[in-house]
Amino acid sequence: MRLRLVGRIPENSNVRWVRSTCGLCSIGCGVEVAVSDGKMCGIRGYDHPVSRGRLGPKGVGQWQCNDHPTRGKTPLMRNQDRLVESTWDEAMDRIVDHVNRAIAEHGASAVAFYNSGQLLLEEYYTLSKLARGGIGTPNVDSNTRLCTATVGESLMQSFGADGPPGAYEDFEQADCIVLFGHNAAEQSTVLWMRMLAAKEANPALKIITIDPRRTATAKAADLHLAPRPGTNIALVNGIMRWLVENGHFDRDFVDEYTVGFAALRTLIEPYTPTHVEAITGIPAWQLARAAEWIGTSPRVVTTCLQGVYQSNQATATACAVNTMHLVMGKVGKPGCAPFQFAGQPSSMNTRETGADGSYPGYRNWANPVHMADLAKRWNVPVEILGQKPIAAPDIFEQVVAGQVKVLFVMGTNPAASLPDRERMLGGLRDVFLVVMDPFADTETVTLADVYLPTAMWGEKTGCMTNAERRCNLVQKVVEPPGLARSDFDILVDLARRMQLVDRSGRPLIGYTEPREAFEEWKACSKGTIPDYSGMTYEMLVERGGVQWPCNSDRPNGTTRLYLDARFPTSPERAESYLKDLETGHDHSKHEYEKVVPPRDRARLISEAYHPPGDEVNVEYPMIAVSGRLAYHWHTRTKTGKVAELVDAAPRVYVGMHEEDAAGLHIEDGEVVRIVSRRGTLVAPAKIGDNTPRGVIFVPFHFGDPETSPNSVMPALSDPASKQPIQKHAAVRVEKTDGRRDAWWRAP
Amino acid sequence: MKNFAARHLAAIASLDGGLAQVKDPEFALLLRQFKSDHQESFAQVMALARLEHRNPPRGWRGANTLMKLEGRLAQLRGTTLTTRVLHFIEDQFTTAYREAEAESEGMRHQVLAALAAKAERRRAVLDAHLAPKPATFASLPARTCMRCLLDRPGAHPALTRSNPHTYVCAACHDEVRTEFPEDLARQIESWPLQVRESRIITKALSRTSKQRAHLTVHARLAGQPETPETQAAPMRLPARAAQPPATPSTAPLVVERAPEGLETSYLERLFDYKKLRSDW
Repeated sequence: MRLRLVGRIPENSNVRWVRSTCGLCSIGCGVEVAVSDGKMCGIRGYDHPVSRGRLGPKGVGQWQCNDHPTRGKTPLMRNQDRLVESTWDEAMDRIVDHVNRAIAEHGASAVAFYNSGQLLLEEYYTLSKLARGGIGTPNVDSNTRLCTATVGESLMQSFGADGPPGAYEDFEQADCIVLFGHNAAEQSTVLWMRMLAAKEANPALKIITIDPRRTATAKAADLHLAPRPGTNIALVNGIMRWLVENGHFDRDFVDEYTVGFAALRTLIEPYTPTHVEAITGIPAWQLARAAEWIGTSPRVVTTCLQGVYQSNQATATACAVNTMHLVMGKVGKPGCAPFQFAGQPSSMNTRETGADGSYPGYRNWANPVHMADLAKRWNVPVEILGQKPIAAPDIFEQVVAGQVKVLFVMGTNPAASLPDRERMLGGLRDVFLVVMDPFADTETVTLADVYLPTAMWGEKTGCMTNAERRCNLVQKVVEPPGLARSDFDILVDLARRMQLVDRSGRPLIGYTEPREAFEEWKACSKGTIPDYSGMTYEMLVERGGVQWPCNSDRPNGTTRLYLDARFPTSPERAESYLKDLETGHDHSKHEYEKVVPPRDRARLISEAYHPPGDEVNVEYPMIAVSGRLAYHWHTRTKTGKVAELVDAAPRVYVGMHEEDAAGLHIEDGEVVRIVSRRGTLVAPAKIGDNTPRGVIFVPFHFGDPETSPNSVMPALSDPASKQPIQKHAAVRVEKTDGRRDAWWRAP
Repeated sequence: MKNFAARHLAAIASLDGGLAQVKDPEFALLLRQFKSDHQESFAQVMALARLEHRNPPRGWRGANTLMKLEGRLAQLRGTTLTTRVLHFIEDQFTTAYREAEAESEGMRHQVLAALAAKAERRRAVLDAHLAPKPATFASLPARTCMRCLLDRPGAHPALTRSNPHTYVCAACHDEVRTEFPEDLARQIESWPLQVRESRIITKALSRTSKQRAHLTVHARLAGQPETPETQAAPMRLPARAAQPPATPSTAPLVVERAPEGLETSYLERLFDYKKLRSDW
């Protein structure tokens, strides 16, 4: 791979360069940060195995927001309708008192933690231990529930446990890359550069994009399939049917390493190309061509992202993609992987450590042996473990219903990012809300009862594991501003002040430094699927990260999982006893034992298509979908403070097809109102042919009351992964007062 | 204060023992719900100790051996005996908590009263299982709804699925329909039957909905006042104040690239900061 160099390099030569890891998206690029006079002043790529010198525009700009004037520098506490400055002691004492009272009066589940995919492994692990092993609440989840919860669920369903099987180098080795709901040119810029470089090196490489919109990724692809929003599962069923009908499946692999082929054949039988065309709108010839390329290419990588995970039947579709690869035997080989992709830089760590709806080390909450093992390692009574983890949508419903009394929000901005927004905001207003965030100006902070200023990227040390299971080290290069503390330090302090102890009466959180937490995590993960026991901080810096499992048997880490096509589906190893894809209801252990695949086989899973829950009709004739832009991250709490990124994408817009606009007499730049059954948004219409007819697109980064697509999205989640469906709302478009704001035309 | 923490851990241990043996998924879910309830109560006892600045109760190695033995015995003898043993355990909890409550005041009194009320509600559920009545058990042989742990009659049919076994009673079906936000509630009848029932089951088995059932149905069963729910009213955030200016970089942008090619073309568009707009 060629080395590129992208960065902002200060002209001042008197700087110190420190190796670290980009903290924006899930790719995990290696960076060097320039430091002068205790301040960050530049950034550049280096010859890191993931990025080879490359960086994306968000990564290049990330250090610029650290000194923004909206950084929180001191704790704040609510005094009637105002947040006023306080000391750390005052703020923490108030929090501890509220937490203890809430638990004493109502139980541990009266306290909930909603964290982020942007924190560090050591912080997640500490939170997991504090919440599950100390407080005992099942209400712990991450904002990764909104972006990649379906990854973990689909991998558990298909293979028995979470853990993406592939590696980025598979993209260079593949003959065909399928990007399913993954607008890589805007979301995964450096990985897209690698794919384009691979295409240059091997012009025979075929790239297929599946996306309702004609995105930058779609324009560069060899084939673009544009399904109607909400119909993904029908498309994958149709591709699988074509593969089987035309003999492009690996009978030996299916027989030896999988179960469920007969049922799968029955399920996909109705999905003829013409039937799929009727559901998805994809011409039959396009489906056949895509299936032919997938079936005849010896090496295929398929990525999924939010276009799958935030859509109707998300888990079923992601499972079906896994199934498609299993049917072809294209798993665990170079250039072959169903790549269920992570979105945020450390979303993998939330799942590995149990800071989302899981237990540490991919332990199964319903398996008493797994829980006994964890209890032993934590030295806590096993009886307090094994609570069924609760996912974010259910946590926020408890907040709205008044069942949760204290909510910690860590490094995320749910007041802008949750669907059915106005109803959720009511809950956030009423609960005792503790917000830990680097910035004091987010929508969520305005509702806080206590605000704790936190250190951010560049101001603390710890690990982030990227989408290919590569653990990288993020280094502290400058001090946080004012009195801000790392989330790690705050959690350690919280555990100390709450007097949480283990069975021996010793402090539950017995460490005070991230490195000590990492050592404990290594011990906790030893022998589990995400085994970190062979890693050290020094190794991570020297090698540009290491892919787990890394242990005494695999001291250099592991590039790919499942090389032997043996999968952790046995009751002893499985991370889950499986959920029903239609209802999300768990199998009991006894039920699982009846359906468990013999001899560590994978499962072939899909589901019949059913229409999305928010019905399109005469009153609401169009479908609203939301998505990302290359220059912003989530609700712009960081990227909205970087001049070049703000200039690139300053405000919201509504993408609309020119024929739809003409029918409504709407002109480019005209401000329109989007009306759904639950809320509205107002934004200028950007008219063209990138958005298909009958669909409007709204970037979700802009959380202001008038502009957030989450105001129109329904409170519907995937039943199994509980990931909210943020890519399907029935809406209508209305003209407003004729105002115009065609900011995208500005030079 | 009696060692309630150890008692709850022992109760959980006995429930775990039962869970390891019980094959009936409906009864297994009842045991799991009771386990969860005892875990909550354990946390309450520990939090009370912290609030009173006492050493957190420990000594669970020497937990209530009798209770564990009762649990072990129940594992061997089917659900009815298990139910009776559980009833005995909850009766002990109720009595002990009520006695302790009577001797206490202030925050301790409040917490002990809440713990006693929880034990009474669990006991009331078991009472209903041991002596089924038409209001709490609509069908025979008795089923156990996975939301309310009873089997109450209602206007809509009970919902049953297999693999995994799922059961939501008729009354819960009625109640859960009212829990959907208004915008979705209006669309329920337009959903295909299978999908509609799946979505109702999903909501019925959510923690929020189960908690709601426990705080209302079980409270009525135990002769307690229902805990009023403080459903938050929707709100809109005020428009944000003008933001301070974003930070421009003082370091020049460097983008090394090959003379031409796919990646180079993309890099140029990406770092032009304006050209990608044509793809939006």
